[in-house]
Amino acid sequence: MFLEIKNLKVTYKTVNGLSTVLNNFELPLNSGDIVSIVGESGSGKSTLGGAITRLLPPSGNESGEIIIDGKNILALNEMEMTGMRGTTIFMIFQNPLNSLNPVKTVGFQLSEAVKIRSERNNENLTEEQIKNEIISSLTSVRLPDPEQIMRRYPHELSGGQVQRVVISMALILKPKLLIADEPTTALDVTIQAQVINLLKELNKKIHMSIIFITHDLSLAYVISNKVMVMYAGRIMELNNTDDVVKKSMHPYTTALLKSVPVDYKGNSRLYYIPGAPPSFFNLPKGCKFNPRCDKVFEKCRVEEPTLLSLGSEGKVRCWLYE
Amino acid sequence: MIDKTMTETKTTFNKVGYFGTLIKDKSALIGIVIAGAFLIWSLIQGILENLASYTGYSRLGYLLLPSNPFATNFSQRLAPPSFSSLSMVFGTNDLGESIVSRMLYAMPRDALVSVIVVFSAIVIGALLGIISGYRGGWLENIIMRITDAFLSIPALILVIAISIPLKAGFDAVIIALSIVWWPTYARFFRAQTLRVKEMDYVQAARINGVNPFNIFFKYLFLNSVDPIIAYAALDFGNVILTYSTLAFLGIGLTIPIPELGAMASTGLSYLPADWWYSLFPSITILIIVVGFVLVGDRYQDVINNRIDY
Amino acid sequence: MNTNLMIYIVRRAIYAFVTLIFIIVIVYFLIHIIAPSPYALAGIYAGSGHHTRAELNSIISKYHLNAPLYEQVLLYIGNILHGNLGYDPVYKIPEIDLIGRFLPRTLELVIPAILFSTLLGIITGAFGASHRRKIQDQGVKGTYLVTWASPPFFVAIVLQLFIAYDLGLLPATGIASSALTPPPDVTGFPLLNGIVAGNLGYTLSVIHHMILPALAIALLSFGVITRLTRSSMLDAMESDYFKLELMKGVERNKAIYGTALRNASIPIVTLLALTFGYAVAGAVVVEDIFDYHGMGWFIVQAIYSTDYIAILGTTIIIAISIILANLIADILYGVIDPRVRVR
Repeated sequence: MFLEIKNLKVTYKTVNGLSTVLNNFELPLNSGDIVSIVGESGSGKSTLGGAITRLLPPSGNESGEIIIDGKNILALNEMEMTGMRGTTIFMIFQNPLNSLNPVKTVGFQLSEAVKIRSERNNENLTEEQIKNEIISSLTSVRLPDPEQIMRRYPHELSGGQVQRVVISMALILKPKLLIADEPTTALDVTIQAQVINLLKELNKKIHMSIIFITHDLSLAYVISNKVMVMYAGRIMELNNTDDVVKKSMHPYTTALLKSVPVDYKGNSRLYYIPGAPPSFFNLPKGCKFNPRCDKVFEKCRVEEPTLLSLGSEGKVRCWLYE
Repeated sequence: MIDKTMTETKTTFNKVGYFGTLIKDKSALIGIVIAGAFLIWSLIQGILENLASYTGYSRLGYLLLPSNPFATNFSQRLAPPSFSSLSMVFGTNDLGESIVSRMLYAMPRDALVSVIVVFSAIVIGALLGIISGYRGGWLENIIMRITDAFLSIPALILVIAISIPLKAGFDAVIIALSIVWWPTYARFFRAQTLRVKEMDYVQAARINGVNPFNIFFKYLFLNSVDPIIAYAALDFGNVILTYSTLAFLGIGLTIPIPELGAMASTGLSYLPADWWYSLFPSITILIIVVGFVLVGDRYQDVINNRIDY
Repeated sequence: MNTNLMIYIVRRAIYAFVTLIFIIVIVYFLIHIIAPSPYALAGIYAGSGHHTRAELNSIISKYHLNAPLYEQVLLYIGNILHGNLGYDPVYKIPEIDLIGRFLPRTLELVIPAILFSTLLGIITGAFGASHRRKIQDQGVKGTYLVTWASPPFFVAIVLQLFIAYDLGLLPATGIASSALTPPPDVTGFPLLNGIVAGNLGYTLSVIHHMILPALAIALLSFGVITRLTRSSMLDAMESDYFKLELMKGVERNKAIYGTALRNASIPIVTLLALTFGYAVAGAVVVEDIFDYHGMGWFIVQAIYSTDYIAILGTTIIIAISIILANLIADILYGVIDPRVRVR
């Protein structure tokens, strides 16, 4: 097992006291896997990204174990954690417009990445080699005229271009684990597809494991081999992508699948799940999804189900399968 | 797109409301207590002072004070602070008048100045800012150049320039401060207008011929009221500072009515031996302003979701 | 050179000039609202005391107060652009000469004060932001709160009382020791005069006398700068680009004091003009208390003698200095931040 998260608990300090967003969270990930974390906003899926990279906002606190390559990163000090970031774990953020430093050129920001990696691996690169590496990585993410791009400032690039620059940074750093937090949400549909393909290529070429955070189940289907569905900070369903999509078990997953637009059926009415995800301050009693569930029965309102193992890989948190 | 962790905490704010969040912060609560006590005291004392001058029954004016602020006592000139009686806690001035009584008597004027100036600034600023943001074109250009022009002169200096020919009375200072205080608000409202103008529901309302002032009161003024409250709270403090500085320079006084800044100024000539004369009025201004700045500062933190618990 | 930047600078310069014209017009209109008749206006121009009809008439004809308003405004603008700010009724010399005497002394006080408070404010604000939710940040918040809320005269009085009177460390009043003969006034700036004349004793005395009032002025703008730095540092530290920097593997302190602080200090540059305004307004009270004969002291004297020509003249000159400061800030902003130029 390459990444193992056990007993992870993430809390935020707020005016109303502690808010527990993730509790008893677990996630096993094999080397080379692409797992999608799917959920509505407010399900705690982005908190997970912050927890693994240890970049939670200052009000956040995490405990438990996150083991990468046999090392529990929650036990590392700040210096050691800095050493993990970049070359072991890397994260792509959602909003491409803000993800590069606005007052430095693209070339400068990529050269920093090259220097960090080469320092850690004692590579001793010349300026010429650094430049060539940047150009080749910009070329592999299919940015035309890389030398021109290097001289540009982030505000002179489009959102899709910035996102590809960030992916080229991943290419340079060659992390073992890449976390992509809704990397395509802010992009046009055509560019979305390109970014997804680039990520899949990275996964194949340098055997990079990817955690793909999204609210869009159809994207998850395209990119990943495993899907985890989250709701109110809880894992609702975890299984191979094909199983989740074709034989979904949890009513929430089924509802999410129904709300994916399918044009060719000619049915233009889009399904949506009634209600909104609960706030972490007044979570419903029993199963957290019960107020919005169409298969709810008495037990769901009283007691919260545990995560049940089904077969070899599948897990589901629902009383229907007890 | 907003960071997800932010939206998670945001939901809780919407539930409790900004103010509910604010009073849970200790330092904001201190600020609210100071500013609230100052304003409530000023209201009560101000009513009493006015009643006193209308009815001619002057005792009303110092009914709630430890002693008559105008009672001179030459045997008690420049007496140091003592706890012998309530009127002596901050000592007496060169005429033997009780400093604490005079300070309490002076407060309603500081409150009045800050309330009038901040509110007129909001009204003028909203009007000019919204018009220039909504209309655009040459009108916007002219209004914004005028705003820049006003912002290029420190308020204190401009108030001096305006109030001196007005014979520098209390009313003159209020008028002068109101004339110079609005530009920040005009800029703020213009920025908000430009932002809201492009939103779909405002566009729709415009196309449907809804009166622009209705649009802006409903969608704009009420939408941006929280940042305004935060800034205005801070600004109360700024007005009080400027007003007391003017009083320190002898502008805006009505002899013989006491004023905090003027007391600090007169007390200067008795330094360092009779330190209490200047020190207590100065510290009182400091504390009042701290109260307002705390409220405004924390309110802004709450709005930006940046309050630390 | 970068054409975008050139266009940007030219545009800012034109704006600055237009703003200046607006200021002059506004000031002139305000006086007219206050004193609508030529005689009332002449009375204000003449200063305090009783004036005969003949005296007022001569002032009216001298300043063309009978002419139509637009002509008066144009005349006034023309005069100011030619450096003619009127004739001072108290000192009996042209106003511009008086201001020329007092302005350099204030600049000599205010500029070091601003540099000091900006530097200190940026360091303190950044320190607070990087220790958010810790006791250090609470301290920073408390400090900017108190310096912000302190009445200007209070700061000056406390410094004078403790450091000058009680401890006797620094002189309490004046520009230089009165026992020394000032060197010839070549530059207008007392400090430069001392240096030019090679008069070490005088130069040191000037520095000695400058410290307390400059410190008082610096403390007045310290709060605003610290607060702004802290909050724009927090903005930068919450941004995705800061997180990406950490994500790349850049050390936290390097990211905070390199990237975040650099980006956060960009808006501070735009605050330069505002700070300058604060400092000049503060100098009015501070120079009065420290009996430092600069422009602030001169304004207070003009208030006491109701020398309105002097008040108007100083107001306009202060506005011009602030517009210039603003222009410099705008240009610096354009140089530092590539995003600004395209706007």
